[in-house]
Amino acid sequence: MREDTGRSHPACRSDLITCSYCDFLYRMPPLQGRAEVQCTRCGASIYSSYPSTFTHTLALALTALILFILANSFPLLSLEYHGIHSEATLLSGISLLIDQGYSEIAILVVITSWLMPLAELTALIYILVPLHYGWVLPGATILLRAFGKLRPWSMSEVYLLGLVIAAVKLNERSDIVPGVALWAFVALIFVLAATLSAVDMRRLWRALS
Amino acid sequence: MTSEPVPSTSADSLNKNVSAMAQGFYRCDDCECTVPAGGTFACPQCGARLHYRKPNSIARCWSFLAAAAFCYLPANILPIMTSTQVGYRQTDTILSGVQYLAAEGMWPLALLVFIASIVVPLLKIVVLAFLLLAVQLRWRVDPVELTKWYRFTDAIGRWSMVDIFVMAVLIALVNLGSVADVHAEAGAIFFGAVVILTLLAAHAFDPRLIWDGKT
Repeated sequence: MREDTGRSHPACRSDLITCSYCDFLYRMPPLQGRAEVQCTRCGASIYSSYPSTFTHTLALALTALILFILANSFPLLSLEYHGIHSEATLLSGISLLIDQGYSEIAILVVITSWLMPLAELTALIYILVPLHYGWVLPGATILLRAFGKLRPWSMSEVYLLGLVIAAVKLNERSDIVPGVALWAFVALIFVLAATLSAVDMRRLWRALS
Repeated sequence: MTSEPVPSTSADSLNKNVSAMAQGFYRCDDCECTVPAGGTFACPQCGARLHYRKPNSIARCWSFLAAAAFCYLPANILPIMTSTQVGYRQTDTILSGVQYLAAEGMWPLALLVFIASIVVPLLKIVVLAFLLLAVQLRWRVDPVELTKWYRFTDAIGRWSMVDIFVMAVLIALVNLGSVADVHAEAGAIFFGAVVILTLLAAHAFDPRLIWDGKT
């Protein structure tokens, strides 16, 4: 089990921390347990320490991946309209958008609601499983860098709101039945949020270096 | 998934009112470590290229903003989708979608979509333009407030995507052949472009510029 020694690369000053919003420089305060460091100048949260092990984060990521697979395997919503039945899965709108000639929007939807959450989870798992055994697989640093940069483009929770609004809109004129995958998707949103808040980038980078 | 309040710690500043840059320290964008300047241009821990500030932040932010502002009007004027049902056919813009929800008595939802799709993108463009002007023209505005506005626009921007997702779900669900279907329209492309461009603009802006030159 490879765990954090609390030491950065010797050329990095692990006793210092810099605010990413106002560039104010601080001595790293001694942190115990789950704590948040706030910038006294601009008020931003500089750093949240997450004291549990990487294995804990890995367990959350694996749970999220299972929920992601479930959310993709069954219909999210189905619609009954005068005896006609139709179902929507996470990806079924995509091919229709392409057929209608709006592949740009199809790509945008696929990336933000499907590819990015999946990429985040698989990157984390690829990094954390070997770390559990004390290894670092090739490409881990590239994936961690991508993970940090691509986070704003992962929008599952916004997609969930879109599902709710669409369901309410259609419910006026037809019957909307929530599918099995909807509950998996709701659970996914919570587990994904918990997973992302359990990722301590400072510690992960130290472990990989 | 604990919901207990997280204790917050106030850190001890090294040197009052002087930035890390002024004291000769880089903050690595990727691994967040603090690196003393001198000789190295790559982060010793993660290998990322070190910058004191995001390169060309102001120019890149202005270009994304200009492109977003250009797309904002067609995004709101052009129809974003057409719904066909036996007997009638309805073409919706973003605003008429909001009006429909309000007319059906779904006020909270109408308000939510109005804020996410119409107010938030406009607010982002206005706030970022204000921040850029404040930095470039050295306006005397409280930097704490400006930083708060930046963090706020950065945090809410993603929710503008909701209308695109509503459309994708409607298209997937209302796929009943000749009985009923939903079609995307050109406005949706402009709308998607506004959302992406404002996200890129917010990402290009470097809030540390607000503080540079302030003592």
